[in-house]
Amino acid sequence: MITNYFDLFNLPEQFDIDLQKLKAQYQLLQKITHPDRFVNASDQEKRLYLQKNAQVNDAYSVLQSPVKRGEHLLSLRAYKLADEQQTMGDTDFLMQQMQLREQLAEAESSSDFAALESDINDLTTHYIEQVRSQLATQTDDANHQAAQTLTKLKFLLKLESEAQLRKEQVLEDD
Amino acid sequence: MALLQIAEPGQSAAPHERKIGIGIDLGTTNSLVSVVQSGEAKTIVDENGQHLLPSVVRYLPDAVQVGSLATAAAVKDPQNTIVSVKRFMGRSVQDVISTWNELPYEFENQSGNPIFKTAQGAKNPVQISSDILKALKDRAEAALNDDITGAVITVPAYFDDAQRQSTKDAAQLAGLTVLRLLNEPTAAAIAYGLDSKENTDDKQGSIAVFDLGGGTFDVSILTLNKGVFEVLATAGDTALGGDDFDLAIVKDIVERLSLSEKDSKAHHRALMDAAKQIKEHLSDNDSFEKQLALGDKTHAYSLTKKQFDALIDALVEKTIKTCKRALKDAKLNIDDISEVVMVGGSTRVPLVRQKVGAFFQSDPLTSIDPDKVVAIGAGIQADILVGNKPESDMLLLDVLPLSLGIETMGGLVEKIIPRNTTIPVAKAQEFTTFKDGQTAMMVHVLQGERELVEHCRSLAKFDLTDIPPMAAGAAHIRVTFQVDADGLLSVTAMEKSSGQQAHIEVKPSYGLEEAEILDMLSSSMANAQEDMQTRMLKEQQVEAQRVLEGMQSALKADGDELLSKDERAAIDFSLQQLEKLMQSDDTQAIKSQIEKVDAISQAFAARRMDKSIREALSGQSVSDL
Repeated sequence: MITNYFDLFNLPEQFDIDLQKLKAQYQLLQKITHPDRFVNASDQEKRLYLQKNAQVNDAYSVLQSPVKRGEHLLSLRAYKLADEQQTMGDTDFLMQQMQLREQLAEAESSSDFAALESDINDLTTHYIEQVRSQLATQTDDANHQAAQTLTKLKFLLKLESEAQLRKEQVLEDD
Repeated sequence: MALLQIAEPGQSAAPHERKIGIGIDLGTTNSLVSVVQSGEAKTIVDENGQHLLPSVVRYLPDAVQVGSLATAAAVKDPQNTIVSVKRFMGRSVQDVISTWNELPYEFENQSGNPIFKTAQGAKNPVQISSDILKALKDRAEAALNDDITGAVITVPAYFDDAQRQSTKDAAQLAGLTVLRLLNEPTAAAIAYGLDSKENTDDKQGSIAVFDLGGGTFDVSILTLNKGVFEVLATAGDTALGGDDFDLAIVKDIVERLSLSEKDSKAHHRALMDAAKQIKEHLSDNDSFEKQLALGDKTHAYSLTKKQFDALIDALVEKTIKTCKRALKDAKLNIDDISEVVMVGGSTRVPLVRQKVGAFFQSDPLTSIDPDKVVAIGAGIQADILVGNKPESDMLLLDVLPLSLGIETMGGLVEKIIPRNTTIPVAKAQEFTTFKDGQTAMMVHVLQGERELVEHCRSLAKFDLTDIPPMAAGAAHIRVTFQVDADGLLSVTAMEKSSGQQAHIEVKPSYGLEEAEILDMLSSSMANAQEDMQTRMLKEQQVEAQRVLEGMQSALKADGDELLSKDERAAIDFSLQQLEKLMQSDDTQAIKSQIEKVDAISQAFAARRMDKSIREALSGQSVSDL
């Protein structure tokens, strides 16, 4: 049984959520469940609320992130996410990734990095739009496509953090 | 909020009594204790009117000296006088020896926690810290003429699990209940009331806490939003502080007076003392000019503030670079920082204030004594946690300071919980067997950001045993890593297909086993055995009373709604048993009956929790419309 994080935050179970509301609910849930509220409570309550509070923190990090939120939606639909070993079939996407990685390897100036970041951002926005419409339809086929798109977004996230790291290294002495 | 009050009645014998929560800044160089009285947090002075207790402990064959008495003896009795023990908390003896190569101490061991050889026998850092805590506790009890309910103890934001656990162990050993381990920068921000300030206007305020002590430096970026306080990032240098400013002056003296290496070595202590005076003098004056007495000779020496600034410029620049890194880690810009809090005696140096102010484009807050600000914040938080300010809405959220991970093939570390994750947090990881019939496996837990096991801190090794024998890869062992609000890790494991709880043996790499603490506790008491037993019986009786009253009021409130008849009967029966047993002197029987009540009422308690959360959330949604 997986916990429905949308339920926990009293939010509709869908990809598009009101981030302001999410934050407000998070703060409210923190106030109800945080261990600091249970300093004088019984061990049982301390334990229960500690676990609940940890769940609230995890749920918040999942719901905040489009990719994790999408994956959570799929797992609530009992869609089994593919193992990481499974290969990505979209050759166009793979080609694009290789180009971006070359671009990263060759980036030297801050304008190089800015260009790369902007490319990654554009693609990310594109795939988030795509996954939004895919997740709006609850068919096996749409779920499958959404899973594929989420995998692509994960590639992009990884690339983005690698770019960030390399940028820090390369531009360190500026 | 009704749930919160339920546990209260069982605990206080006299309900009108105000509970006392103290704040403790357990510092590297000095420690302090504070308490809120008449609505104001103040540090408590010793019988000589001193606020600061030097973090120095001296062991004599039949006495322990803590503070200035010990400091005075440090030179003549270095081996028995442990200075700045905080450096050694949660560290291995190898670490300690390789980091500080000129320590005057003798160690009993070559591995594990450092054990100091003293005139009073073997002492480890937890015991030594507990002697400092005991001195502060005694000071507070004498001044307040009352028992202490509990303490908030501050720790550096970057302290890892072993260091936090050691701090908590030391408190337990000193007979203090730890209400919460609080990060030092957060405490400093609380002292300035930055938590309540934000409530008046709704703007998002981020805070930089710049802490430059005698030997350590760190900067933390905190953010505040609607009473929720988060540490976004922390960066620092454990080998940079005011002592380095003194050293820079010493170097200048040696150079300009052309002292020989032999002379400068011989007079090192005197030179350092002089440098400290010069530094302090230049905080309020533009120049220093005096005869320096070194041995039987005197030398004329002068230093202007400008020259001093030039001497320490590179050092101060280093702190600014660290500020940049912290900002970047927090993903913020300079204009996101609305307040800068100064902590630590070395922030009295004008150049430091000036450069920090210029960097953050904001005048640093300096109105509270930078030596006391952390203790004051801890005192305020302790007062809230013991329940003296029920109207307080403030909540502190902390983050995990360093990533937690496990060892995988090839000596690599796989991160399970990344740093800066809000705590408490729980993450589960699945492991499988790689051999047919395998019944045990070892999990090595590490903390740190690097990729190789050898570059991270080893926290513990867990042996998972009693795994049901199956084909390779068939057993799925789910290991849950839970970090509590103090940043402390605990681990549970379960074999999924059989639902069997795998047995875990925890071998803390640097901490102390629970049994060791109990041992130390009992050996520190005069009539050890008897006292311990009486104390444990008393504790169980109090807990039983608390459970009983808590359950009864919970049943009254929600029993009819949330329980079936059978469930209700089972809980009632277990409570009757507890009520009977509680009068006896059978500690073990009371304890196990409390556990029974706990197990039987677990589902009920969970339903009550879910109900209260549901009610609170739906209330919020309605008012949102």
